[in-house]
Amino acid sequence: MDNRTAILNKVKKNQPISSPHPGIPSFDLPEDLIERFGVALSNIGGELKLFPNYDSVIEEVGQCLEDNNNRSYLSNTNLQTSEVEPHTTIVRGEIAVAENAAVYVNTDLLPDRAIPFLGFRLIVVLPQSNLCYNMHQAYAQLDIANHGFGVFIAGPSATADIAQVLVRGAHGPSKMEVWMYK
Amino acid sequence: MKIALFVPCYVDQFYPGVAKASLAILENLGYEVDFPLNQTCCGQPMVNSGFVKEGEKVTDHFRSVFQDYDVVVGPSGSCVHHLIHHAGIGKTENDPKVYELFSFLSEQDVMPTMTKPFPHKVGFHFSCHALRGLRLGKSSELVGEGFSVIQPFIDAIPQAEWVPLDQVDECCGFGGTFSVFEDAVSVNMGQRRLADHQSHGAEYLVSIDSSCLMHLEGVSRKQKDGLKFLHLAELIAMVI
Amino acid sequence: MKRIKHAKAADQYIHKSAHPKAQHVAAIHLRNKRDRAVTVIDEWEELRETASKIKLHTLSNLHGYLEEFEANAKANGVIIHWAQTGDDLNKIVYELLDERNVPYLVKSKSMLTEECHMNQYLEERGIDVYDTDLGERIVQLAKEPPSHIVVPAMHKTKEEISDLFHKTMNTEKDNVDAKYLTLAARKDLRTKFMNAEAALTGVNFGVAETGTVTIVTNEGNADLGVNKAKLQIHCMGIEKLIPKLNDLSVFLRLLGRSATGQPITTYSSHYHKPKPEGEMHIVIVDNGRSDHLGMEDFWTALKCIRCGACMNTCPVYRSGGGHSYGYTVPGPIGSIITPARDITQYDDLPFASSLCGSCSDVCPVKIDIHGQLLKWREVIVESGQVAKSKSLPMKIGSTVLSKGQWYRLSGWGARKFLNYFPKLANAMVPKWTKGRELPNPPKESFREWYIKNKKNG
Repeated sequence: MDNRTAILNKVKKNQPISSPHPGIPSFDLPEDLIERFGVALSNIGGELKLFPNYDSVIEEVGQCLEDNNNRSYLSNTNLQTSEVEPHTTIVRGEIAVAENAAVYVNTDLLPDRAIPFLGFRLIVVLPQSNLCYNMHQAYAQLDIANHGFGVFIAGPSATADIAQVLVRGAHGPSKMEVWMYK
Repeated sequence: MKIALFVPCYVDQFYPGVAKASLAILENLGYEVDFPLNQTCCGQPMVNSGFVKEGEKVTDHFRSVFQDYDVVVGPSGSCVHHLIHHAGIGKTENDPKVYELFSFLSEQDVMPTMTKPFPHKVGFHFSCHALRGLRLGKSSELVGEGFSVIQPFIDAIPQAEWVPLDQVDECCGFGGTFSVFEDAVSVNMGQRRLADHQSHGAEYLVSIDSSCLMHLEGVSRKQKDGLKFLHLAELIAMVI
Repeated sequence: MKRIKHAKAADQYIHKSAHPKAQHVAAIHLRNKRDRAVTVIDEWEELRETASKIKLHTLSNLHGYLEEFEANAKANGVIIHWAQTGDDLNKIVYELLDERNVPYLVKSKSMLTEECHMNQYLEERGIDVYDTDLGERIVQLAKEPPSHIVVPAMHKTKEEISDLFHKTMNTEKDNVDAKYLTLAARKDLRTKFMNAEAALTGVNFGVAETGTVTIVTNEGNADLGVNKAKLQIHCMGIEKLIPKLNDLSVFLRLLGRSATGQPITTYSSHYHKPKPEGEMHIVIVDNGRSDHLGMEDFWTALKCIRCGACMNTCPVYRSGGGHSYGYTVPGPIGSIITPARDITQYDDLPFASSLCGSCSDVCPVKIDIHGQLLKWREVIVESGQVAKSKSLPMKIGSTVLSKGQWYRLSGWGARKFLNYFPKLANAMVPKWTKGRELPNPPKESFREWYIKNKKNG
């Protein structure tokens, strides 16, 4: 008997009497999402920047790109990956979660799935209207199943594996900024 | 209500003062209490070591000794937890209802009148079986409104100053036969609990379980740290 | 296989190791962080209950969910393999690497591959393995097993790590700055990541309805590896499944807070499809889990999401150290999983607990860990493999304590003996008296006092 059949047969034989799925309860949602998101993000070492509109974001991105080590992937015009690891990477976010400051990035929009994990500073840009409170709302709104690879990112890459000392930039960026516009 | 005092075996043999104090508190509050002379043990040492059949023999004896009572009160969260949750005493109509001493007083809504001062710094050790077994308080792991069946009693002791702890409800390391089979870990855990209490200035360490106290006092005397140990019943009996 | 003796190993850790407090200091730090992170979530207990029920539902319908997962992953272009044993897993992975002439593997943390000793298997066959989680890298370089599932090098001090890095990566001698050491490890692994042809990860959750594998890391090491390499391999135990993507919302709220006190782990990754021109493989592993599923009293241990909170809270784990359990998954959860795998080898572990119950209260999926520890003791005693030195006192005790007069006589005898021959008594109970004094015996028992003073009014 092949491995697959053997495992499935044994599971079928051994699994206990079926119990029901409980469903996901709905919980109270607070109002002040932006403030909560900002506090949650700063608690984990990230930084929130608010912009009055998308144009003002683009202006700041432009300034950022004056440095050749920086890359923006906000539009489809710059889809080249570079041989040299960038310093700053700017990507689009789809949803931000106020409770834990996680921002969802769909890497299908990027030329290379590794982009959010490269360099030293990651900037994720998204509209304020895409801010929700908790993970239950986030999953309900996202179409994750249709993304080849998508990731919630909450703050900079971190480790405390050496004597519980928190160090940022373990393998990924040591800085994370969320640029949110109205 | 026919009440019997259950005195755990090691309390009977090594800590008679705890049993006397329990009796004194109950009588002070006007309860008439019997002490059935043929009682022995709850059976926990066997069951906790995996010897369930051996434990059941002891529990059967317990049942036969106490079957004519409505209520059995014992000054030990651990033994009472075993009797209720593992031995199943109280499941049948003929069984008496078993209580840890202070949970009985709490349910009766009575409080001994305490008049004498106890001007000392005291650390309270909430034994695990009373806390997470009998749920006489909210354990620090759970989220929700805090409560403690014991708190009103310790709050009522005149002039006692209760010290805060870093780990409010960590195990002392006794654990029955664990204390012997895993002696190094058990002693190490005991030392850590004592250090927590002492770092906050406790002179006395008080608990509602003499088994934890036996272990902690044993560690304390070995390292000669000068801490003093009392069962809460003993302390209350001193101040009424 | 060597029979594990926890008490002895823990004694060694406490009395003979260089830094016997390291495990406690690190673990209690995490427990306290966890407390701060969970008390702000009003619905914490409801989340635990929901997570527990989702896992019970999944495990009790696992056959269907495994088939569903496989079908959906295949539809996404993923290649599925099945491994009955650890050896099967190692062989599958080796063949994937060998067929493609992959010189080395970058690997993110996977307790499953630790359990199956994959590194050793691959290295013996000429494939280098680089563990990329910093903690795992440290224990790999030190040639030690992990002492914790979330923080593998928890038992090591920064001085030890500094020494190790100096020897293996030529970092400055005696530089114990954690940031310096961490960045040195980052630099050391960078070229390995950038040129990797194959990356392997464990799996935190497999989603049946979509064929998703979800992996969480704080360092981003799994993602850097997987997304750079052409070949990605994910190894998943069969118990990792959950039904729907939305179920993840419950588990991700619980996992990070329980594990390290973070609101969520830094990276929560969802892999569905191979990258363009890449290959994505998932190996579904049994290795004893389907047998465990059939154990009426113990199958709910498979709910575990490997957060490590029961280790951090366990005072026995913190005192005796993670290595004293002799298994990849140590602590309370390890002590109820291991006897399900091999009751002879691990029969000591269920006794390595004071049964304080903190593990069960801290568990985000509400496994009755201390209840199962107690039940395992009963099973182990029934199986007859408990030493006479433990069983004889229990049998005698049971007989004595079920007869009032025998009990009174032996109690009286014990007290007199303690009174008259304290030194001898101390010598007779060395396990107690090594670190403790015996109680001072009173001159009379309560019963004797009661008969004299109370019995007749």
